[in-house]
Amino acid sequence: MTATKHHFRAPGLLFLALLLLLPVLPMPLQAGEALVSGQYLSGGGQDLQLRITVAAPAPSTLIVIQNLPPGTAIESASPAFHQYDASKGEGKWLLTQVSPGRYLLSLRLPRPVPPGAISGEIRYKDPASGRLTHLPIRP
Amino acid sequence: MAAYRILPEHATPGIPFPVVIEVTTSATRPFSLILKETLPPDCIPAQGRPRFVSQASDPPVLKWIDKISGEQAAYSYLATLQPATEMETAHRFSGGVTIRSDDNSSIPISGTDALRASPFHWADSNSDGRIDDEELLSVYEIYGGIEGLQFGKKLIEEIWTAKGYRWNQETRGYDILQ
Repeated sequence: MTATKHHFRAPGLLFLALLLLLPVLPMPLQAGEALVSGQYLSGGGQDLQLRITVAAPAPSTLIVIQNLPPGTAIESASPAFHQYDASKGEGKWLLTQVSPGRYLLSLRLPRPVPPGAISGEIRYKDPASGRLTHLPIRP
Repeated sequence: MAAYRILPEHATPGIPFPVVIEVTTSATRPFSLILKETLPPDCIPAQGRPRFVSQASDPPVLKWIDKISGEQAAYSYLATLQPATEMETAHRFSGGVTIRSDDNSSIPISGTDALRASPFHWADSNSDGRIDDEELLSVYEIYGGIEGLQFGKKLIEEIWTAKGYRWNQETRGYDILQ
């Protein structure tokens, strides 16, 4: 699955004018900033939303793991999961052709889950070292 | 200048596998090169990215003539071991890069130069009968960015999502274990 970037609307003409004056750079990494980070915008209830932010130099591929309570059914997922094992409650997304930016992954469940019952993980290879990184995410 | 070959450690006879040769240079001006790659006699070359311009057989020889203007260039191709190749046999690759100079000397391609015939898929680097997350990420990091290289993503993802796979000698394909 090719990764689809989530676009946020720029607030107003002044912002756009300022943006045009800036050099176009692909979100360079700042000191202390992670190459990839994940944050639950909604980490409980029926609708779960996970935002992933990727800085440059971006890993080309991400595997995103979503852990739900075992036996949880899923009404819909966007983008669709590559793997979902309902008995374990583990779903996996494969995002390819990733570029720096923000990505939004959403899930709708038939029944609400409490925020403490879910967790996530992002796995990727650091482009510089080639090392496998496991990044845990909690709501 | 240096040239480095990336090749899987093993591949199944009859199943295409990818090869990448990375050329790096510190030259500040564009220059022309000839890259020559000699495949093992039991190997059949297929798709090249960019296309190779010349091909001999027995053993197969691929050539690229190119002009490099940046610090790095990559030349890739798919190849297949002949279906009748005996399992566990080793197959050797060799090659070099020639640039225009006083002595027209060739720089040998370093990196991996041998491939073993195996019933395990080339992306299953530890030959454990499954493709795990790390193996999948490695495949995409190395080969995923090469536009148009048909290295069998669909089968690799199918095996990754399954419990495993097994080589079926009769059908000459992999049985996916769900």
